[in-house]
Amino acid sequence: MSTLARGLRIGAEFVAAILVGSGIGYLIDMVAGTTPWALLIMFMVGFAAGILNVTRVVAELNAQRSSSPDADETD
Amino acid sequence: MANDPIHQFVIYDIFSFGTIGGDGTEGSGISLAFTNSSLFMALTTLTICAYLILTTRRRGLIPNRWQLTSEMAYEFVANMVRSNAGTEGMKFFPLVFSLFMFIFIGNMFGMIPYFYTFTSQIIVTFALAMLVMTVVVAYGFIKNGPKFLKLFVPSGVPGYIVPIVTPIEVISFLSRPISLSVRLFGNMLAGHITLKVFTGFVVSLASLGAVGIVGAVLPLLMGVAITALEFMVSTVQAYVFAVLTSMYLNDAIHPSH
Repeated sequence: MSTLARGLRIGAEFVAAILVGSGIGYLIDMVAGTTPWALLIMFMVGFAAGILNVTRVVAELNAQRSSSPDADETD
Repeated sequence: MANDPIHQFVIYDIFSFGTIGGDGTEGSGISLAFTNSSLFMALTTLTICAYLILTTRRRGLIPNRWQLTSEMAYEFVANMVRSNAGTEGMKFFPLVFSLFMFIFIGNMFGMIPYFYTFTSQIIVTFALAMLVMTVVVAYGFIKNGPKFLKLFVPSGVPGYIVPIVTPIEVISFLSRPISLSVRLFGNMLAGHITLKVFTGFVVSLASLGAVGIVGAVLPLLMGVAITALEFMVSTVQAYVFAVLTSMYLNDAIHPSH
């Protein structure tokens, strides 16, 4: 996987989690009429999920790298 | 209009099957039509079928050149599935191989001038991503039953942290189809717009006279470089989509990680 693909993948994982979290919060607000509290809380949870996604991707990329030391040439 | 970088993404009906519902005004109801996007999806599928059938028609133990290329495609995807989802994941090989070939050939079609890039429409990539997630969730529940929900509760976490960690894990899981589809769509859309903008500069500058023609060399070089980059991005994105599909399938097969 190229460096570009790696960067784009990490970015997409992070943004997607925030979008999904905020979306769920917005829906809860619409249904329960608690604007803006659920949106704010779910935004934070989405942020945490984004960080989790990024740490997972990086841990997995590191594992790939250490398991195949000759992978650096193909980058 | 020729210089409009967004114009290449316009969808038009080739022939319409009529509309369902709506009140008869323009844009109401669900319109069923065979569009230019559908045309290129059909062309992609036909190309893949023709390629695989023709190259494996005269099978030999010692493969000829064409048979070798389709065997390489098979080996490439098979190794990817095996290393990410284990030998058990090989039952999903047809799904991953179809997705990989569909996206790869579709992206490559998009690189041909005047051809439509259907992977630059988010609804197409989102439908592909939802297909993957539906298979993951359905197979996960069928194979593991309620144990599939262990995916959302990491092992070795103290009980009082579980209520905090579980929503985060659920959102992390729900964000997968979004990131999967947005990545492919974003790369293809942005890449094709960049390509069009830079090559558009060549035409605009060259129409300014002698100085402009000299100046047009720079965006022309840039255009050549970006075309090469786009070919790479097209391949890499098809590969990433297939790798992530097999990794998500791995979660369905072995839910406790």
